[in-house]
Amino acid sequence: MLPLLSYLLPAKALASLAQGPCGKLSLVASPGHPTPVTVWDTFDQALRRSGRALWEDSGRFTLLLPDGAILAQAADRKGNFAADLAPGPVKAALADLSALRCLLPMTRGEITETRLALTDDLHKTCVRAELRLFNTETRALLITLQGLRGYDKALEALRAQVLTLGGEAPRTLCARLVGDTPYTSKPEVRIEAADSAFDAATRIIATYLPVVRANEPGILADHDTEFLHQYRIGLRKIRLILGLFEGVYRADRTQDLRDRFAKLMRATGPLRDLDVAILDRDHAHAMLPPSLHPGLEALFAALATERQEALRQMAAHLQGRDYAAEIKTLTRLFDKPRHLGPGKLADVLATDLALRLILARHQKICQAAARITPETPDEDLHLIRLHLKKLRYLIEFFAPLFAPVPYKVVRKTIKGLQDLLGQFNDGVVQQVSLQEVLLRQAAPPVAMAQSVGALMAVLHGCHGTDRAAAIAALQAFTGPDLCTIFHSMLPGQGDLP
Amino acid sequence: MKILACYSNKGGVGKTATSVNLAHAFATMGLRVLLCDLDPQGASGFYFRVKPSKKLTEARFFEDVARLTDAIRASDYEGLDILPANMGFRDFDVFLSRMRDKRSRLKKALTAVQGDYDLILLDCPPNISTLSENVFRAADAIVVPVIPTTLSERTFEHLVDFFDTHDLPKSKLLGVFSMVQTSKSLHGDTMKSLTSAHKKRFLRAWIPFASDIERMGVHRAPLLATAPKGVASKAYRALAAEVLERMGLAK
Ligand SMILES: Nc1ncnc2c1ncn2[C@@H]1O[C@H](COP(=O)(O)OP(=O)(O)OP(=O)(O)O)[C@@H](O)[C@H]1O
Ligand SMILES: [Mg+2]
Repeated sequence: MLPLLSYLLPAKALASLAQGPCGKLSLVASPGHPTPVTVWDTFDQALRRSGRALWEDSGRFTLLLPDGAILAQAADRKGNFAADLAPGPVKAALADLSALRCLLPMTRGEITETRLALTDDLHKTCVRAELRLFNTETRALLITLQGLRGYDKALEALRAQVLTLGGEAPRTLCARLVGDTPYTSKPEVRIEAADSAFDAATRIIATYLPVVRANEPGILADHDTEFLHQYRIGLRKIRLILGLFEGVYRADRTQDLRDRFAKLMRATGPLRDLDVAILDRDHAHAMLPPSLHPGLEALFAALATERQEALRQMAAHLQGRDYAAEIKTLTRLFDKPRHLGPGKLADVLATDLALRLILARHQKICQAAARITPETPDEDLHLIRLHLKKLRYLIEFFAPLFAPVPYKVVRKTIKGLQDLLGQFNDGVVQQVSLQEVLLRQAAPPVAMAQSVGALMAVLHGCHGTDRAAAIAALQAFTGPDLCTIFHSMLPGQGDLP
Repeated sequence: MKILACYSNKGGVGKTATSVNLAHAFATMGLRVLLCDLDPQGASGFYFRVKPSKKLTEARFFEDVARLTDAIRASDYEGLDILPANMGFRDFDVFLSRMRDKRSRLKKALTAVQGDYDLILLDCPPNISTLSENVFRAADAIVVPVIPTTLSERTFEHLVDFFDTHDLPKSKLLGVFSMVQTSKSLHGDTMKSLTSAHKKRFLRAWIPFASDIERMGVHRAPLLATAPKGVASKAYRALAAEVLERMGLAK
């Protein structure tokens, strides 16, 4: 292990450390007072997963990096996204966080900082350290060593003492402070070779229902748009299973479930559409000259107003009695699958079924791609995009089945292709939705109408290139090279029906 | 990176006191400073409780880049490091001539630490008159503490003459009155006449005679750390600001 700058120590090591001395050096400690502290992370715990920890106390943000380096800056900020922080080292070290995810307080407690100095016989400081005792969900003790130029031996002596007291890499600080409640939007669903399609489908749905639910508070609090987005992805995955695993549940049950999940999904539509439109704000500004920006501002102001109403309705829906009852019923149903009622394919091996579906879906995409001509309507491309989405979710659910190397290539290629098709589709959808926004305004200002017109013209101008790029990528995906890779990913293809 | 020397051809005028307090003041102003103790008695190092390194007495010291940088010690103050050179008279000569030679190892050694520091401050030992030219050429500016007495007046004139005859830029010279006793009319008179004789050579800031400064040897710490509110601390802060301005390092 490389020498680290900070170490996690057992909280009880505090006493032994304070007792010093360290070799020939004596210890001078200047203990601070307990101060309120807030630990921050994104909802999907990007900091915790990357071995970092971020906390705020006394008007400062302090960020611990995986190697134990400590960065700090004033906690001034415009909002709770990393981009909202004042410029500084902490902001710079958070640049990798998703622009769509805001920081949230994960836990609160107290922090006590103690400065340590080890001094020689002349009372000259030879090494310093900062001790931070956190008292949140649990107690955690972090020591940060500060070597002084020309006093390497003193630093190593202190490091040796820290290691003797049980010092370890500080990557887990955040996890310790927050306690063990990691949220993930992609929980692992273990599917065994012997699992029936019924068991696998039920397990996938039962795993994703809590993911969906975990996003509800964030939607209500309106922290960021990702809560709703992830909520929808969770629902979409559930619907995908219900749709694809036709015959796994009793037919009437399947239809009923499909309708119910479709209804849940429908409730999210208006808010999500507005989120997508509003997220495009910077992009829209970049596409138009400054003279047309005031009109855009008017447009986005109108969208913001609409969004408020959509959010209100979404919140009313989520907090309503019907929703509570519905989600409770659904959860119970998948937790106790006895009542689901097996269909005629219930006992088929899940992996067999999945492979068959994946192959069929891939074939469908290949055939559709082969039929594309310049006259192919945009809607057909949109349908291919949906096929791809389903294919990706399917191979992700059953990832452990596949040879890892080609799997990665295939998944990445699909993702890239989806992005291109998505961009193309967004352009088409946007033209329509822009027009709708305009129509919804009682008396749209001229500037707004002008800017919307210009935006539509630009989008239309991109239409051809975006379409060509999407088609080219699609044909590459369905071309011989990638098909070979795709098939090499599949297990025992020889004995498939 | 710039080099500032604290120099006087007279002993006991306050070179070390000035170097120590200036170096520390610069560091508190956010500069990264290396204070080179060139005094064989290691006086500046003493004030920072930094023990002289044994290696440094070896003649080959300046041949070896790594040893120079290895000898640097962090002080107890953020941004201030000490090179506790406890070198002999001859070594100092070598030091300076190497400083001038661009290809010398010393120059390279200093280049190696260049990125680490904004300012290197040389606390010069007394009685180096034969070697002084080397200091004058190596430094970007030279702070010259002057006790305002008749004798000092003549010493300062000599220095200025030396610069003239050796074609050295006089603008490098920054005279500063040191150990000034306002109760003595002689001090006031000398300051006036020196300032008018050498218009731009003297800084506005001056250092009073202060018992705080004498007591630095007891505390073994720079004045701004132990008596930050005292008159002498104020004087050093003002001096530091003025020197930085003259050197074009003011932020
Ligand atoms: N402004 C001052 N007021 C009172 N005492 C001072 C002042 N400046 C320096 N001293 C004292 O005068 C003595 C000589 O000062 P210092 O060592 O700084 O001079 P120096 O020029 O470096 O001497 P040397 O030529 O021996 O290197 C020291 O004891 C110091 O404490
Ligand atoms: Mg001296």
